[in-house]
Amino acid sequence: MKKILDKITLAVVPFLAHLLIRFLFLTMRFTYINFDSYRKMLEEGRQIILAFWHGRLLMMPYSYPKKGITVLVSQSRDGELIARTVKRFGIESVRGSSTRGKFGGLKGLFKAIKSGRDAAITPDGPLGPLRCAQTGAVQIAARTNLPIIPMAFGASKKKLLDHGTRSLCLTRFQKGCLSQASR
Amino acid sequence: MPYPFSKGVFIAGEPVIAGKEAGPAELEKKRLELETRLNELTQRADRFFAERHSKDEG
Repeated sequence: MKKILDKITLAVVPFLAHLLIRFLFLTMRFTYINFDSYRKMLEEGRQIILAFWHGRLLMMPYSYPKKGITVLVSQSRDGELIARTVKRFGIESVRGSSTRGKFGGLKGLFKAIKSGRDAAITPDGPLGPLRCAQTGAVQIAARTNLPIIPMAFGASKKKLLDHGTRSLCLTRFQKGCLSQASR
Repeated sequence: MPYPFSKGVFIAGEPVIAGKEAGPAELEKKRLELETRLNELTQRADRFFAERHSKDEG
């Protein structure tokens, strides 16, 4: 029974999440700041590594105005939901960990970059601590000689997700860093 | 999570460049640079509409 429920969750949640994100995008009005040089880089075909905090993941498919990006997503079940959701936006994912400097998890991302794709990474994810960058992002930037473009998102009206929902956005192993930025 | 029909802002930051020859100390410097930049941008994104709102009122 649990297996069946699991399968249903894996099919239904990404479908609904994709609809929700698209609905939000269609009803919201957006401002893009400092996008000129970023867009120019993409138009010129220069590869980039996009980096954003795990907590600002939701609308990030719309921060990349191109096709051809691969995102590093954790191997957890939540990661599976995220991977399936972003796939509906045409975003590929590789599974692994960027945390604690384990280059092993970055191999897939490295391969994707070598094949000419842009990369996206949450330097504080998936295990946190929130808003502390782990070394993975700069390691892969150094190894591939690509610039990291830091990206942030904010909204005029928002709801902070409660603890339960935030399991998707984690709080495990929290120590410090979060206080440096407002929630 | 943003509300439907609200306003959103994306802010791109200055690129963080870690050269191929970067050693451990340099990598740590770049890691901190990325962390600081992301935190500053996120704070700026969060304040963006609050400040606009108060300007409109004043």
